[in-house]
Amino acid sequence: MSEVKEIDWYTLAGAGIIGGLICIYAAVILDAALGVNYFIFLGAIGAILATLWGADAVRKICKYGIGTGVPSIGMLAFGMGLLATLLGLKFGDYLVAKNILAMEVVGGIKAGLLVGPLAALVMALVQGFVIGFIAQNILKMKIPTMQVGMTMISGAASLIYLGYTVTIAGAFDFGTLVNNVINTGFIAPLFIVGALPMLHPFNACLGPDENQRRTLTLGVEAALMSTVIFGILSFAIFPNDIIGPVITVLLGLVAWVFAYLAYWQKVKESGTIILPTGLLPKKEEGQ
Amino acid sequence: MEELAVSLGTLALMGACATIAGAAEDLESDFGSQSNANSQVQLAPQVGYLHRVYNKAICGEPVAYGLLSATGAAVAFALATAFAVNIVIALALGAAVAALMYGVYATTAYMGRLTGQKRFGQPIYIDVLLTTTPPIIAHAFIATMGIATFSYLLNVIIGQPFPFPILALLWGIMTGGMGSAVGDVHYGAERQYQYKPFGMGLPAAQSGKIVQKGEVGLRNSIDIAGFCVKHGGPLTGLGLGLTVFVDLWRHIIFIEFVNGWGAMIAGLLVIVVWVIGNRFLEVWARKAYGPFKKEEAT
Repeated sequence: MSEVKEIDWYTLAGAGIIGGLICIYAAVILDAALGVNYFIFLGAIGAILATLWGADAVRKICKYGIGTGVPSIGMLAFGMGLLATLLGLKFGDYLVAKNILAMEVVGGIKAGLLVGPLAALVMALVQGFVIGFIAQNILKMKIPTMQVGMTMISGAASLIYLGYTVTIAGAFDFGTLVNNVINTGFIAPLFIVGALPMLHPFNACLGPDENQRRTLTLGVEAALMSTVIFGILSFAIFPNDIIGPVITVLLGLVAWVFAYLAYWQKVKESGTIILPTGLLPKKEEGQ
Repeated sequence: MEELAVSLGTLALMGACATIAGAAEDLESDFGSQSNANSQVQLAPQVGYLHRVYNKAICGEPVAYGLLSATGAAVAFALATAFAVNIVIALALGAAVAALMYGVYATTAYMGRLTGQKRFGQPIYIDVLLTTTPPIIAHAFIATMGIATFSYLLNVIIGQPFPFPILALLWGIMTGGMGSAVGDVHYGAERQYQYKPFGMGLPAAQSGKIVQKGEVGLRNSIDIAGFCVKHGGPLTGLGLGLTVFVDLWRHIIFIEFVNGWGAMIAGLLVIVVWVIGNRFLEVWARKAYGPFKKEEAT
């Protein structure tokens, strides 16, 4: 079987950052321009791209044998990402309040507000870098990929927060985040249902025969499940205008079926013995 | 007085929900050999012990139950807010959505872990997947429903100020911790290494050499849960039920003192008493059940 070349993690980082930000901005700008909420699913697509990036970074860090630490790494990433995201969005809010970059771009959105997600991402990357530095040089963990990996998972977590916030609430300003995501308690599933697609793929697929394509396929599958959940949650925010949430849930479900089948296909292709039932295979002689 | 009676009645209901949730939680984790037991099930094929035990490597029980409870509670809250669904039905629907999602995670983890170590020859059994996943979903549903319900009561009737999905996340993590700490004692070494004396621990050379055959046929995960119904499940339920019940007694009784801080101070005192008591217990157990080797003079 010919080995498929692994995708470099910087490529995935690029796809995650650029694709993620484009999707998040597109969702909010298109909705504001047309005065609808049909495009909130784009936020989830941005989050899925960021999940791919994060899942690969988790994979690279944990390949150094932190077997039981995979979920912990994901939780750490989301802890870092949450703080940075709140701070970044507050920064955008601050710019609007101080009338800096006050020109309206489209549909009443001010340019200052659009700085928010970018600031959140940058702050998350910086925070991840600092925490990675502490882990590597002060705690002396001596894991070669730790420094870059921490920076990446923190950034990915921040983008996942932003993406799913757009899916739940349709906007990324600080006030919406506080009123519609934190005060309703949706921050709890956002934290943990957002984190699972990032940490689950490698946690589920680890082992000597782990394969990047299969792991990332699982990441997409899990992220689509989260998309469906956040689509359901957004019904609470748009109770009178349920077209956007319905589009999100339906697209999420259909895409999830394909992703699950793709993962099953990858499992079959891997050459693992799949038996309908039966006794344990006989051990070979001399082993 | 009437207010206190309502609080105490709610408390009793919450304790009952927590007991059921705790018992279901522990059994659900035993179906998939989650947390402690998982490393041995994962290791077994590598040392030549193939098996028919489910390998549900989603994450540790605390995180898994945080996931289930937060999802269940949030979906229930969303449905109740958006469509004015009756809260009991909304909680059931939320728990169902969460449990189904969890079931999908369980199947992908089982397939993924076995594919990730295919060189050791452990096959993926479709019938194991099809017969063990439904009980996992069912027990996860009961546990999620219990946790989400008492979180809701805690928020709405007892008056805890946090929104109830956040309370459900916290209590879910606590439930998972309880299942891991209380329930797993009755699974790990007991069921996977049955031919060793109780309490002997696990020598490194024995790691992964799990029991492959059951009372009838090959050992499977449903047997294990059947075994844990006796002790692990009920004790976890008792543990969680008592935690919720006794701890909220403290809250309700002492909340009136020192401007609301009375409950905090009482909690702190209880923890101090507990730590001292545990230390005494430990010293007593070491003396009673030694001998431990004396440190050799160097």
